[in-house]
Amino acid sequence: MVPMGYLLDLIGSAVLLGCTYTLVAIGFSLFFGVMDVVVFCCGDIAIFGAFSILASYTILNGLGVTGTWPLLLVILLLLLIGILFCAVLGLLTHRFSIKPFEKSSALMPLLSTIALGTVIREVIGLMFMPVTNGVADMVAGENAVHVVSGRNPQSFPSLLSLGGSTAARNIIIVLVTVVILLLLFLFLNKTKTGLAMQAISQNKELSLMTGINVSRSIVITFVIGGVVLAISGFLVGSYQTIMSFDNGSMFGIKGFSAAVVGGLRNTWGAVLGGMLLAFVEVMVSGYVPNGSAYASILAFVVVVIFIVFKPEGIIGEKTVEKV
Amino acid sequence: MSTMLEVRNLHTSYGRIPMLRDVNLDIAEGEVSCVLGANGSGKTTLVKAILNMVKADQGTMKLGGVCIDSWPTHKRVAEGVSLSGAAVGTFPKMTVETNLKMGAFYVNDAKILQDRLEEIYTSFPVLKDRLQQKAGTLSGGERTMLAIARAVINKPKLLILDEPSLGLAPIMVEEVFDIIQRLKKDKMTILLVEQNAAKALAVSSRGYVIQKGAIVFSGASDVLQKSEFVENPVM
Repeated sequence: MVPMGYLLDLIGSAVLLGCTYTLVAIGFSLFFGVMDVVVFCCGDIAIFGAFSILASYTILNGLGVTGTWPLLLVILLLLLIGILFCAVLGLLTHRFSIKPFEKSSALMPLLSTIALGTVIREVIGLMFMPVTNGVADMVAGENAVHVVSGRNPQSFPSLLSLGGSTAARNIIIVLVTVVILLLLFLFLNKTKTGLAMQAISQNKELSLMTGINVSRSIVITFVIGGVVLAISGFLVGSYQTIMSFDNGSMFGIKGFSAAVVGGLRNTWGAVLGGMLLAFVEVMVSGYVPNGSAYASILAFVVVVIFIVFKPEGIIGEKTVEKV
Repeated sequence: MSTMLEVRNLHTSYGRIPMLRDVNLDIAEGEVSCVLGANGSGKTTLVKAILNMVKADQGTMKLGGVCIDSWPTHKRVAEGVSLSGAAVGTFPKMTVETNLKMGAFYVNDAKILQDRLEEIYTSFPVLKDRLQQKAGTLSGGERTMLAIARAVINKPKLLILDEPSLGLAPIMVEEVFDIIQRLKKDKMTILLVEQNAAKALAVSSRGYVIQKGAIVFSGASDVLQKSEFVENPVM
């Protein structure tokens, strides 16, 4: 009999992992909602945010700011930097990977964002090439593995581990996710900009006829998506503690799968999908012997099952067009 | 009576295929004008060109005497051109109330918005019972009512109705034309685009006939009623 505490631990980890997937999935569903295209570089944008926070932290540390300023201020400043970087990256994604292909088939922006994702990954890799892994040095000393002229994993500043406690960090990650979800919900349902975004997702032509400035709303969506992705990058960094430049590709695929399972276009679907995927992964690695090797595989099996039997997702609605 | 919408020498094309050719319209303020034409004659293209959803290759347009050629779609709507019709549709996952509020997208004053909503509830009682229902679950007739109400709530200077009776049961068609009669009595300027010539001519005072992208007749509705165009079964 497996002890109860173990199960609770697993549930805790699953919720945590689910939170990180959820925010990326929301990025996908926001973009898909207004553009009807899959913006495939969401994961890379998030990881870019994480790395920009990591780099800014190193710079702030060098200036001696981190020790003297209050921790909360440092965190907020870093988040702001990450958000700025990701919002700009979101805008650039729209400008160079989506907008030029507005009139072509949906496959073009899909391909161009995959390409852009690769560019973002490689840029992160190049910029951090000379940086060696501080944590590895600290832990393994002379035996630390450094890939020569390669791209070493980086340690993310453990800002949320108040007093070195992961429990506090975990609670903060879940709380931040919940707050972001609530803010997003209020934004989408209570503000005109949010309602316009929903309207575009439901009927683009009618949105134009209602007098919504559709092109401006699309740009705003990319900024907001960038903000959400930056925060998700920060949370993923804090959760994983070690980050590699190419984390974005797997992270993006997981987020996309979560969005598909939950139902693209639907914010709550993204939450459910993210949680489902995370639970499958964590439970498999927790209960199946050597399960962590199969965790991701089984998570993707779930995705395939959904695509076959319920392609509209958990709470996605079937598109029925009545005349 | 002054002219609300003036269209001069409008030409549009889809790619290299010419669509509208040298279209001229004069929509008088406070009047109902109708554009009649068969499927594929360019009616919807004309409507979309008025809203700049289809780019004009040539030609100018004036709304209430002001040149609107450079205005994007959202500005034209904000300045008082509203479009509705059966094919235009609704926002299916939003409630009836939210749909109406989306129609009044440019009304920022909560008090005015509430007054406008109340007015709509009096003229469209069907909708009042369905306020919290998702628009996608309404019947075809109710959805057409909602689509018209959504355009009317904006208090447009020009209301364009693109085939409002399309695909409706005869009793609903009657109701739609009753609404148009009522709006006409309120002195709303309406451009009615229809295939149902008899009904459209009965409510309108001026008629246009569009064939293959060109206006082939323009004149008083009662003259048009007796002309060859209306008797022609192709119409």
